[in-house]
Amino acid sequence: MLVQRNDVGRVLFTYATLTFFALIFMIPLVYALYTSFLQLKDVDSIVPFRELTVDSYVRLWTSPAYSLPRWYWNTAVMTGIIIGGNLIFNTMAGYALSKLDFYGKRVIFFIILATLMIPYHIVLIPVYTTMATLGWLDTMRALTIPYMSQVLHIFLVRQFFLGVPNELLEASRLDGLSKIGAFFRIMLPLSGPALATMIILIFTGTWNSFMIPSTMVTRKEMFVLVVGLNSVKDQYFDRTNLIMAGVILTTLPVILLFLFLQKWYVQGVSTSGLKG
Amino acid sequence: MTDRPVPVKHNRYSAWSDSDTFVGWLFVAPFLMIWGFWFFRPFMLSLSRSFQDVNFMDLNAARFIWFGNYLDILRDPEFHEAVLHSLTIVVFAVPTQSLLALLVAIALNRKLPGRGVFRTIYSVPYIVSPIAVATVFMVLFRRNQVIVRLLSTIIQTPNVTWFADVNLALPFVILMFIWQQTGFFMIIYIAGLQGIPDDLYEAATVDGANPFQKFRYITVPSLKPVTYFVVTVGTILAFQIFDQIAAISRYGNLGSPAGATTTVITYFYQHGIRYMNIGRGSAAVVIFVLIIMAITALQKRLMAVKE
Amino acid sequence: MRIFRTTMAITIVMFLSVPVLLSARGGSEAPTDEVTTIRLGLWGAEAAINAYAENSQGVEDVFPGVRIDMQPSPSSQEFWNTLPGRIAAGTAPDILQLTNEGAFEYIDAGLFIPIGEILAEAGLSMDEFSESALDIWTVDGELYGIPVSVGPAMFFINVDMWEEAGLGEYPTTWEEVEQAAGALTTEDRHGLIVNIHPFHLTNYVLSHGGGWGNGRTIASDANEQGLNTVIRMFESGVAVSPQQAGYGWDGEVFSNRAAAMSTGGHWYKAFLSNAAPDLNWVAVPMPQGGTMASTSHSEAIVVLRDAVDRTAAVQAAYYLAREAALENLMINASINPARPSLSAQYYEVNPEFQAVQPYVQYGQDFGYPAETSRFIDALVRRMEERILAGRSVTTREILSDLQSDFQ
Repeated sequence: MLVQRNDVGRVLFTYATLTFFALIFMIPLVYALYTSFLQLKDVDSIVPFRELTVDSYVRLWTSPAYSLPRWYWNTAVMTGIIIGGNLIFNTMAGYALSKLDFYGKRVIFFIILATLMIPYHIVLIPVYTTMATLGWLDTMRALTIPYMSQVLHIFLVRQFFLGVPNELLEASRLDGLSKIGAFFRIMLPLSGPALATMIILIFTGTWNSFMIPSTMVTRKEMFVLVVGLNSVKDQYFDRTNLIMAGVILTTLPVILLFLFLQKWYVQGVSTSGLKG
Repeated sequence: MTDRPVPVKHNRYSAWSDSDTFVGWLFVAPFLMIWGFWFFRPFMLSLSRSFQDVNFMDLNAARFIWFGNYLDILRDPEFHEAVLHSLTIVVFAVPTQSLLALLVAIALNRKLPGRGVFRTIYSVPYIVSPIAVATVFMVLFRRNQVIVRLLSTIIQTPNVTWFADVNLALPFVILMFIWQQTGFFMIIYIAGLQGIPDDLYEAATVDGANPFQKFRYITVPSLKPVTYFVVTVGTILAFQIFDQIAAISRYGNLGSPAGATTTVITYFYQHGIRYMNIGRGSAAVVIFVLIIMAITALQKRLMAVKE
Repeated sequence: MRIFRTTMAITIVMFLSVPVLLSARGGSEAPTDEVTTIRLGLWGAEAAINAYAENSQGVEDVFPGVRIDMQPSPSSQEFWNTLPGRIAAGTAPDILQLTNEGAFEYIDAGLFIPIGEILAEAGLSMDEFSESALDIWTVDGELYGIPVSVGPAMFFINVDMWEEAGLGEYPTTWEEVEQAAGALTTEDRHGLIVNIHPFHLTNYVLSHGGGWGNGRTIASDANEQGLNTVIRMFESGVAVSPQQAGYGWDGEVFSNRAAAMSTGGHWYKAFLSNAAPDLNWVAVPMPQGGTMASTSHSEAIVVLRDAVDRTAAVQAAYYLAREAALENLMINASINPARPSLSAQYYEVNPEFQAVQPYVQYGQDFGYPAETSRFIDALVRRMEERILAGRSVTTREILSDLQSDFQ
């Protein structure tokens, strides 16, 4: 009896704490949401419910200067291609760097760490020039091909793969699997959470990316969401309510993806898989 | 795995597909090709600029000046200040965000109904664009606002707008940065925790281990590769912090007030991009990378991580 | 340890082996077909970009064989960040719309070309453009841009606060401003906003009879007086910077009624009508510190050095500044047109600025040194160190340091 009451108390306490912090963590999003329903004159003040307006959203959807459906589509295509490339190439590289032993492995790992340390700004101009020479500017190729295998996520996948017990791989060899076979049959099925994590991180990073799309694309039809919404700016001042409506429109898909991936995220490693 | 895979037939390719060297290079080849063409080549181009006096108007009329750009930077007091700020950010942000992320991840790794929703909510600061987060923080830390008043009674900070105060602007930036990065590393820790087999804990329970012992002897060692990632990447990202700083000086000088939030990366940005001094900007990046390398190598030794 | 050694070894090798890699130069030939497409680079408000899109229609009827292609950038920052790459890649625009605030840096670097001769050869006259706008775009006797707009900086006052404080005539000198600011400062608001920003600081030095003189006259006595006025008002507590007040820029402080007066420009109208429609404000000429002067913003269309066809580029620029085009911009993007023939109509639509109309001729260029961005960063930083960080340095020292750095 006593134990049980304690348990109930503990669960309640956990929920209370989690909810309390959750509320704090929601502040930026709630603020953005609230501000996006304001007129510019009411920004930074509390107004009664009936004075809220959807004007900002209407303006973003209907103004001829913006083509939101097109920009959503471009962003989705860009994000999809980059996630696809990274899923394939990074898991391959991560497997090689964590579970195989070959000459040159240390150098490649060093390359990955070093690349991570270099701010991308420094290669932007030469990359731009190359894109122009290839005639790839204003195309999806310029936004995706160089980013199909990103060092941050190779590093991430490698670290996760290091945690997979070597015994599993040795057992698979006794079953007659080759090194390539072990990758497909052992590593990939075991790395649900790692891959879900990578998808979430790449999705967030690519979906919100600004520097590269704003450099490589100048045609409005090829804009991605963040670049397009950024052109909302007035020359001399910001329209905070429009900016926040843009933030909400950009953030919602990411939050939906998060909720959607949760299932996969926890499924990942079941003990039965490890007992093998 | 109850269904045993069918043994692979031994044909003449199996020797290759079983060789670490062949499979290893085959599997890193796509990455290396993309990296070589789209990163290494452009980077070497930029690197060669760091030894040149070069005008953006005419890139071909560059003059080779050996280490002139490097010496200029190393002698610049504003660069010293920027390095100091960058180190401050790393020292305060990295341990705090790593520890917080781990604690939140452990709390959310319990089998609670609705944890998916909580996980999403706790990731919100990372998902939302830095501009939105900065806007909110700038409102909250305005003179006379509740938080500023509270803090001025508790820890005696003056009742001023934080991002306009030369002493509080950098702590303000660090606070925003930790707020955003904790979500990022929490996601990674949760995935890491998912990867620890339950039977390890079950065995420990049978052996009579208490929760702290389980944490100390199972969770921490199992998370070592993930922690190495969190600390290394955390350090690199803290060095590259830019969005939050750009946001608070959106209408003014990058690094304002009075240079209180300049960092190595804003230094690079100002000289290399804003003043279009490509040579000096490239040299700043090389120095910058050497500093991070030294720090991450040091961290590696301190953490005694065997990779 | 081994990885660390490898790291160092590779670093050193990379460092020593830096090959002199030269990018292959993409050969771009001038198109030989009959139609020349002139690329127009611009950024700014949505309304202005739409107006430009309309204005670029029909250019072929006036200048046969010329077409205009719009190339808007999300903002000036993206434009300038990518310009070096675009020049190297041959994808830079041929003509560009920008304001005079940072233009001298690029004129001095040779990015924009003088257009006087080309205009004369093409038989295009500049007689119908405003004298002060042409002055702004003339450097060393050469015209560099076809002006679109021109408008002086102004001084804005919150009328309700002003009347509440029982103050009479609006101020015409900085001394009067300082006194009024004292009367207008209360517990939760300041009398005056001074944004420590080059635009605002330049207005203080110009109205004290100073100016940067493109780097020649940084350390002048008049500049010292101008900046001292700013410092004095901060020290007596009647002035506040937007950041100190917790906002981004001066207009936000003004619209949120956290201060009563500010230096500003025509953009206040568009902003205030959205951000604070019931705020009662007035625009008056820039107060004097002994001299009647202020900055003037002028947008113009300039021709880039690497333009495919300079004559066609000048023709396109001229077409975009024709009377009907400026009228469209005036009506839809509320610019103050650089053609005096439209002025009467402008002040009819914008009666708020009528008080300033007689003073337009006192508007000047910003006069920054050639290394404009480095100069304004250094100036703002030194002033912030003095005002916000309380560094003990005299204005004279600040200015002589800057002078020796930006000869």
